[in-house]
Amino acid sequence: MKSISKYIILLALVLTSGAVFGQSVRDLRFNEILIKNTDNFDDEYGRHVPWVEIFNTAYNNVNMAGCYLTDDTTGFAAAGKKGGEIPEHWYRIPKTDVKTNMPQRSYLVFYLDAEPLYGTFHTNFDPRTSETDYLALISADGKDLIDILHYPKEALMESTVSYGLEKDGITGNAMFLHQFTPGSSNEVKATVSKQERLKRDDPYGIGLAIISMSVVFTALILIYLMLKLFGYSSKKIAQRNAQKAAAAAAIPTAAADASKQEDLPEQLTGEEAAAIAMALHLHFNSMHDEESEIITIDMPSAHYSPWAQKELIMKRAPRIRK
Amino acid sequence: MFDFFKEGLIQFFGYSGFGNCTWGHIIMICVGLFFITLGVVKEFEPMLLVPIGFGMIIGNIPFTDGLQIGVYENGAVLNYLYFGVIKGFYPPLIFLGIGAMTDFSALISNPKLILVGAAAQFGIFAAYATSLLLGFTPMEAGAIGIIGGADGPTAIFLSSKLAPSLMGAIAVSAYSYMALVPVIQPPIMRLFTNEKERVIRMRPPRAVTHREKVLFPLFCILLTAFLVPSGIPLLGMLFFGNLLKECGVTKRLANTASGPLIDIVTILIGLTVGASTQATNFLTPKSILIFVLGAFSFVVATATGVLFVKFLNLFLKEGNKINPLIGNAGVSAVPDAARVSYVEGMKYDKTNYLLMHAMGPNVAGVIGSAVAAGILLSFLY
Repeated sequence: MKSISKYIILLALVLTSGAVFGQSVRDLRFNEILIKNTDNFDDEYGRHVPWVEIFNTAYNNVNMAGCYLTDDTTGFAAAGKKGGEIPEHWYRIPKTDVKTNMPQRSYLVFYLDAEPLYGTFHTNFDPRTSETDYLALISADGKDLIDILHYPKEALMESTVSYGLEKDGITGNAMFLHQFTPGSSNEVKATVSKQERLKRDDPYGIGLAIISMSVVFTALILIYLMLKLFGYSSKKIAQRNAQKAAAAAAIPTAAADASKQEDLPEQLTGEEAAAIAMALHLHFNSMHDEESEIITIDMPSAHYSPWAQKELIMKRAPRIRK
Repeated sequence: MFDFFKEGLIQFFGYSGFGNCTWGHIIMICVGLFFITLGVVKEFEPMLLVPIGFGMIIGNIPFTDGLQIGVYENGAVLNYLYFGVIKGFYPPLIFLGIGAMTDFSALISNPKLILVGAAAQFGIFAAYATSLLLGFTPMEAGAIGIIGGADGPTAIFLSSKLAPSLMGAIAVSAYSYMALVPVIQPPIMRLFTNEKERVIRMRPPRAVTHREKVLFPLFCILLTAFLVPSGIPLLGMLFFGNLLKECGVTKRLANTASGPLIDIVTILIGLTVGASTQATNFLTPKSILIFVLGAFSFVVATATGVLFVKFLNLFLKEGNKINPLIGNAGVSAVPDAARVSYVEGMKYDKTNYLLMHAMGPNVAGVIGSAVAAGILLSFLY
């Protein structure tokens, strides 16, 4: 049983570790930034302020509550150490807003207006007044630098143009963007629907068939392995119970043995067992006013097994006229 | 006075079914009557074909638009009942009932049979690829392909999401072929097996403990739902229903789920799906193609199930071999496909009871088709 427990724990660990890594804030990326906002995207108060867009590259929800946004990573090294304090100038994303839980492949816009009291998505710094030319996203414990975006500050301060990743979430290809896309994909021209992409990439459906059948088999093979484990553990439990029973049977006294031999006939035939069962049934159901002295037992003509019996409880098969 | 009566009669005639009748309506009413006949006289899936057939009749009685009568008219009673089909909440309720009435012990005792249930899902993807070749969009092809899973509720669930406009044809096709399982499958089973294979005796399965039966739905939902979360509505309800049945302390809930609840939902789903086959929407070349593709997917699913068993047998020792006649049961038409295995097996050996062995792949087919639906949903929706 110990070895089975080990396997179960190992399986659980593998599954949960996958889940933990899968839902990591490490999947978040700065996707687009606009500093000179004259008539572009406005906040909930109607103001045109600088903004930055964050993209969840994962295919699952990621909650970024508790993480830090900053334009000044001073103090990062100290914060990462045991007992280190988080610098006050870092903006901590509140934990109370459900909107910080980003769905898979989604976008979230933060206003860089140094007005943190305006709401969850208003930071405590403003790139127009800061001396740095980067933004950083830091994990909730202050230890990990999740992403950093260096941007051409002078150019962005002077012209109304946004800067970001050419392809969503893929770092290393940051550039001035032709269109502003706060809250949506930067790949405006390349955006195609799922259907169009499938038609283009998998016109005959072979790819989908292979992937899908693989997943179906994987799911059912997992169940198969689980059932094998069930069978193995059941066998072990049955063996253990049998050993216990055998151990208990080895103790009986001679008197008990004698009484057993007196009480029980050597072997009951099927007919005798049926007669006793029927007598007991009649007795316990008070149906024994007039007892017949003859019991007729109808033996089935066909070979009989518990498996065949199942057929009797099913609905009738449809009649097919030949 | 005479003119008044004449005008009134003409107006009344204009409102009546006779005044609005087309050949399409008559054809569909005939199809409805044929379904009822199949159900009542031949006893082919009467629980499904009788409500669907009657639904076809009431859905195809012509009327004037705007009276809030038809299934597609907002505010109509039938439209409210049809809501459960459009939004896909009837199928999970049916799965709850199926779970509460399904005994998975055949599968638990012989786990390798679950792989047969996986292989039979190939019919779904063969139909998907063929539908694409015939010009259907990927979403439509996915909805058509699921007919091969031989699972009416799953077909309705998926088509309501992927291709609502084809749902009537897909649902009717799926249920029709499910009813015709005893006719479609035997020739394919015989085609791919020889006399020797058909009389293979399978080893009696071991006894399954209560603990295993209780743990089975819990572990299964965790394994399958984590892998394919989009299948949760179907798989979740299936395993929840099974847990109600097996845990032993929720007998009343299990009885309700497997009795009155599934009966009510079957009535509603059957009637409204039948009523949704209005001639104007249903009698199109696409519907005919869907029926052809549905038959094709059934044939492929049956064949792959049988062939996969033969493939498995190559690796199994003598005495552990599987009778390929239970390969057809990998489709999830429960328990009809298993019964076909049993009936075919009895033809070749009167003492070879394959029914409960076939129930293994059959219930695995239910799980497999729900997983396949979840995958299609996640890729196409």
